[in-house]
Amino acid sequence: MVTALFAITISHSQTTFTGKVLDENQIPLPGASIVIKGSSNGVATDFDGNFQIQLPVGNEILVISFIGYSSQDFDTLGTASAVITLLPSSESLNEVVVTALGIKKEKKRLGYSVQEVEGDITKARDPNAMNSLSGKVSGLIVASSAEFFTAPSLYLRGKKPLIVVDGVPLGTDTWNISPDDIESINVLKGANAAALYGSAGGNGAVQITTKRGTKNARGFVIEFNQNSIIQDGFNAVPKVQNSYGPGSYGNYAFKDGKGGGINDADYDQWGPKFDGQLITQYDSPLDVDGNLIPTPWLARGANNFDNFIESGFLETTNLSIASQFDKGNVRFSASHTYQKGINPNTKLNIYNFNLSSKYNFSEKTSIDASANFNFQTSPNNPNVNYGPNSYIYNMLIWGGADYDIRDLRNYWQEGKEGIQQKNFEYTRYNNPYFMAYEWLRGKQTNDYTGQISLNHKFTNSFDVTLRTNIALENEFEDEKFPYSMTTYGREKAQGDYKEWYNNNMKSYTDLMLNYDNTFGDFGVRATLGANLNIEKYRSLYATTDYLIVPGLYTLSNTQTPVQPTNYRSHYETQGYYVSTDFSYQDFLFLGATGRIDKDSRLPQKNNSFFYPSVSLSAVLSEILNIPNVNYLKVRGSYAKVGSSLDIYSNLDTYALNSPFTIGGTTYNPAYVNSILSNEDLEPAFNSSTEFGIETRLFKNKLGLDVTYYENKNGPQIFNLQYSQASGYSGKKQNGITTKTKGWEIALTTTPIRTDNFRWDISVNWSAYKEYLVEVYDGINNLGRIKTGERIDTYYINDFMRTPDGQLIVGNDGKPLLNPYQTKIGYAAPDWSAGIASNLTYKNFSLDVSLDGRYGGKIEDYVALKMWQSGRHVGTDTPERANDVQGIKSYVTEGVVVTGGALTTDGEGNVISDTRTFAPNTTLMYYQDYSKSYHGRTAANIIDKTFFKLREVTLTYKFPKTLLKNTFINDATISLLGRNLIYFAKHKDIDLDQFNNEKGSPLQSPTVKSYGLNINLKF
Amino acid sequence: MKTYNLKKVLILLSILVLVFSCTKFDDLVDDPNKATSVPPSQLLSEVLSVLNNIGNDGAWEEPQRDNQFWVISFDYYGDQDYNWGAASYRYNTLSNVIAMEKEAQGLDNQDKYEALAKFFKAYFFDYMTKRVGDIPLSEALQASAETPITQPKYDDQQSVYVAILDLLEAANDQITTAKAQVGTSDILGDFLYDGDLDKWQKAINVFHLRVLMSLSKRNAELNIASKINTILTNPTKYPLFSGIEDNMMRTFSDEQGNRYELNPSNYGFNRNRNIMGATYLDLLKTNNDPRIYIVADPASFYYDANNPLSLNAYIGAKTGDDQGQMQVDSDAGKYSYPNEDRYYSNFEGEPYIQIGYSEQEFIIAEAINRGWTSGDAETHYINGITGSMKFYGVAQADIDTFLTNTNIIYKGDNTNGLNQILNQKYIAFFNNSGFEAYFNYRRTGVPTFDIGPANKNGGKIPLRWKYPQSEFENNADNVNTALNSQYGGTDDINEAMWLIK
Repeated sequence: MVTALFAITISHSQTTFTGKVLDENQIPLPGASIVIKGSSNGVATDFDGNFQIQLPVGNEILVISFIGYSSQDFDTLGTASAVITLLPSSESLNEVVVTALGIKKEKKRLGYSVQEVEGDITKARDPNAMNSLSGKVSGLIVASSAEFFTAPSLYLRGKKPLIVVDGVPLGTDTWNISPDDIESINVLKGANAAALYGSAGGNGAVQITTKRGTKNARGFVIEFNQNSIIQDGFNAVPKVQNSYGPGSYGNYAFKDGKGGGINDADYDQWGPKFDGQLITQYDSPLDVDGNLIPTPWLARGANNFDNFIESGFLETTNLSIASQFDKGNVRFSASHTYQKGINPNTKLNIYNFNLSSKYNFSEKTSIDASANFNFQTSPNNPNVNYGPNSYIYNMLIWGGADYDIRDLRNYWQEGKEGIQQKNFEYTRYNNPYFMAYEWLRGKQTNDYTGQISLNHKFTNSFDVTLRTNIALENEFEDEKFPYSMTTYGREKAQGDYKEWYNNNMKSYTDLMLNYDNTFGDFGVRATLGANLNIEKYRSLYATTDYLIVPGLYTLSNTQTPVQPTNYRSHYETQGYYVSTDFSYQDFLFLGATGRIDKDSRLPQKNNSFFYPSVSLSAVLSEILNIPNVNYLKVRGSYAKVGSSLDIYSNLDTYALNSPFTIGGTTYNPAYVNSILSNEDLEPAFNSSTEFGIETRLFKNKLGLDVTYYENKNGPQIFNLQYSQASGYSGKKQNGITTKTKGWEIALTTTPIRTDNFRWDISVNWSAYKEYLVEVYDGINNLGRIKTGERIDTYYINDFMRTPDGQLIVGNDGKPLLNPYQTKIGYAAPDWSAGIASNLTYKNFSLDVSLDGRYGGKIEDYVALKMWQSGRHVGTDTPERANDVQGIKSYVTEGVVVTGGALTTDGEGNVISDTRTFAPNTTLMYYQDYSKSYHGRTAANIIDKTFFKLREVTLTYKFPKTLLKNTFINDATISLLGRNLIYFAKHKDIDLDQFNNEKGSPLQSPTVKSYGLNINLKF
Repeated sequence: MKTYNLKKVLILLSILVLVFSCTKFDDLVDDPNKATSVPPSQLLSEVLSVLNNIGNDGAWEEPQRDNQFWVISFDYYGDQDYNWGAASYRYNTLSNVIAMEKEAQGLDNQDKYEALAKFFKAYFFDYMTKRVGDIPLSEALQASAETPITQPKYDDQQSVYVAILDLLEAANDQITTAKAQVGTSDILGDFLYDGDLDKWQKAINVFHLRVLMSLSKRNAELNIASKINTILTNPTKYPLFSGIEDNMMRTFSDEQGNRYELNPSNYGFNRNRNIMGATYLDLLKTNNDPRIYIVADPASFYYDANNPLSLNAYIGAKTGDDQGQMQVDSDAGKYSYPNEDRYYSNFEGEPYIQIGYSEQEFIIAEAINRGWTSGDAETHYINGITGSMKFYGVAQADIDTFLTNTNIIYKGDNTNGLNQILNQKYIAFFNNSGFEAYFNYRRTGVPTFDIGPANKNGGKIPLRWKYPQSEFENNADNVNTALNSQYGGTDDINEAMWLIK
């Protein structure tokens, strides 16, 4: 017995009804549900399809249902037993999905891959809605950023997809949409699905459908959702040694932090061992002569980073009111998101107002409109890039444990408030608290979008839609850089102020004529459309060159005048498209689209271009009867999409270099664009071929969707490289074709389903590889990469080795590097996968998901830097203890060249090698070894494999009976966790944000999230 | 009623559509942010900032370490291991030179810009060829020609130099023409000479001498001796620098992008890591050279307050020494650092000489010493020394004392005299003129460069740089042909090019 019989006790039974439920092949259906109509009382069938139910009255109607089958009403009047046969539901297979331009189609008609993510993305919430897609769509990689207020990078089949909201491809910064307003997200996986979106759809699309008005018995629904999350506990953070402090070869003494002492400025972490010995330090007291009195040298700040980083907090509140009435519907939603980052003094407020409404003028004419207002403010978002601006740089790489961060919380020097920070060093590094509270990088975004759409049905089979959308984004950023703060290029440390303004206007208008009719077995659906797309952008940037008055952050408060810079752009595209679908019975579907675009960014003579797509799908299970196969569809499609080039990138113009001032005169250098324009340039094209099979097996308990695709990316528009000696680095040309080949598998299964208990599992797996196919006539390489090679082949200057692989070191014992690059692997992951499980027992449900990626290589930059600085946990070696005694004791395992020579050609290919070797015996400081071996790229190439326990949500839905006498209709409460466990070999960086990258910039530590979600419907 | 509503909606929507309706595509093509034509002065500023590439070639940068003027002990910021990679080409700068000529066409000061353009071409072709060997010239810079050449062939170094010398002759001729024109507009954008054509002409001719002397080993093929003699014997046609006030040099001040390399803001980064090079400092020490007190500070460990001028406290670090030990010794105060007052106390530092009077005088002295022209080598030798001393503000009395030093008194037109000239030329190149000190060493072997365990070039000072990697990607056949004809197919930095064979 796999399934147990779950019967609800009936208080006073009068009649017992027994029955058996069979499928269309007369095979028993275990786990089918039998419910008395109009009540919640019910039972489930046992393994043999039998059931027994108590009927209070005796003439009840039973509702018999099973997933994938049409439910059936059975009238028990006059009978005590029956055999009931369920037929496979055509309805459940007639799932409707939103395709390109918002056109809804039955999924079985589609000849290409579309995957939908439904259900609540609002529970295990991430501040960014896109992160909720992680692992849930095969072929979609969500590379979530470790940084505060930073959107994830999406890769669909390895390329950046278009993001569409309600059929309009105006994109989104992903913060200007409230997760509470999202009804569903579906992913059109390739050019095949997204061809109608024009150029931008060439890499597929992620489509967001927003919520619309609904109602309940009362006529309207008020929904309240409250989500509170605490972010704490590191997933990935660099590990440090706390045995040695700042300095070099064990020498350090503070005098002024500006180079006056011994290694007291711009130092490494190769200093003296923390043994309590007396050393002058930044906070040493002064004697009567004003000299520093040495104080005990101790690892006072072993926990500096933990003490500095705070708990993050995320709170999202949403209130929506929705109603539906005979003339239409309306929904209003207001959301507030507050986030406090883990770095001190970081916060984010997002206010979002969304109004959508539909009004039916008549049965034939309706208007649908929506508006979204979004305000984002973040007073401070620290710069995390490598440099004196970064906390990691200041605390974990180059800063040591010799000071306690808590002593630096009051960061002004006494008597020099507003002018001079208090710090442990005064040349390269900054007091982290001073950075957090005085180096402020603010950002404010005001975002408005509006959409209005008119639909008129001429007949039942012929209608017209006219819609227009506008999206405005106004962004303001500023940066206050205080006196005594330093960063690269600002070593004079006298403050700065900067402002940026970015304004973006996008408008998108469509006119569509739709026709839908059937003629006997044949069905025809067609759309004829025209589209106008306008995008305007302008920006302004100005900065000071050091401040005259400290703390006065105005642009005119500048020591020397600086020219502001601005930029503007404007382009338009016009598109005309046709889409047709033919169907024969419920079995065979043929779709075709064509689109002509005219794009102002292309050279005038080639600015119009056409591209088609065609797809075919056949539901074989409609004509074949294969045992255990409930549904079987095969599909295939081909699509081509043309695209444009970056605006103003194909013009012969002069560019201006940064102005410079010498002796009071300002010079404004100009230079010629090193890429020649090409008036014969044609649009770029992508084409994609895919085949897929979808099936549901074993009474719909197992669903499988397998896709194979080949994307031909090209000929693209690229800069054909000329010899530099030609005077130009190249010319715009059509060329470079790569081919991406990939597999995607989506598997869904329901291993257990009884009346009270249900377990669903879904698995997504995908893999792709992209190869260089062609470059240009007579040219077979793209830099180092030759045709036929993978485009993500990773070349580095590796350590120089003997033919049998031994490390070759120089006369100083330091490893030598090859002067030429060699291949060490590939950057992109081999595959990515996600698994999600949903368990429901009565009113409880438990959702768990895990996802990650396997393979690929990346340089672990933070580790490289920490091996150089001496802060890496691995640098605490016995030889290091000798360094500080002035004893050289490390011998690099390797050989030295004793004679002969290696001769290579210009590309590093060996012409002759007569070298002879002897074992290396040179003693060196461990510090020199660490820097020259571990501190090199070649020693820090790591595997990109990682997995994350992404979401765990336990939800309790309050029973209706409990809410009966309240004004609440529906109530759920969820405990949730996100990113709870990070599985990776090297946990100093979080690999989540990388896909094709070969290098890893510094990142903030990543943390786990825990929280509570309350959802109430009135 | 229904139709009325529909009409209203349609009108409303049409208005919305009209508001955003399309602009003519013709009006959207041009980039509103960039110019298609600029005054030649802006291109001149660009070319000069590359010529005067202080960020890479300037004082206290890597070339000055390879010249062995100073040594860095902190391996994180650099080394002096002579494991040279590829040279940088300057063809994109030459494109800007050509654009400058184009933009000057038809202007009343066209000849001025064209004369300078010829000089720049000579300058940058020389810049490239002396680093790598053969370079493209006859087919170069033709990517935008009617029949474009995108993969130019390499010309042998001899013909490259023939072309460079022709350009320098032509530059001098054209600047003479330009100077004779009356009422023409000044050249703008010139931060080196502020449009002073007299000074430009002198600099062109001094550079001409520099190129000729760099070809000293190819006297036979290119008639170097007679060419030098022609210039030196016709000062009317070939005016030369009359003193250090004519130097082509860059001055610094506390302005964005114009701060001296070493200054109060970066003292902490550099003080105990930038050490005086022994090759240079020992030359000063041997001769009791008063410049030593101006350029260097005594090593604190050896400093004797009772004998502050003792040269025993002036210790340079050897270029070939291991950096780790050097840092330890530096932390112990055992090395001389750049003079704090001169180099760290303000943003002006010292001007950076691109082409200097002293160099000119030492070239003339060398030419006389070699018997290539007539004159008194000693006079020019002393002029060279005095010019350099004046640059450092050495008092005349100290100069006079120095000139009486037996080591310094000119030993005549023989090898000893030549070595004196070359040693003093090297000293005068301290922290200026890019790699000129190295190029003179490469040509003459003077002074002796230090080689030690830190050398990562098999214990040798390299003779050249590799060709840019991009040439192997974008012009492989031609660059490989050049390697085969010069260096047996390898791109070895220890192979000798035609120029120095």
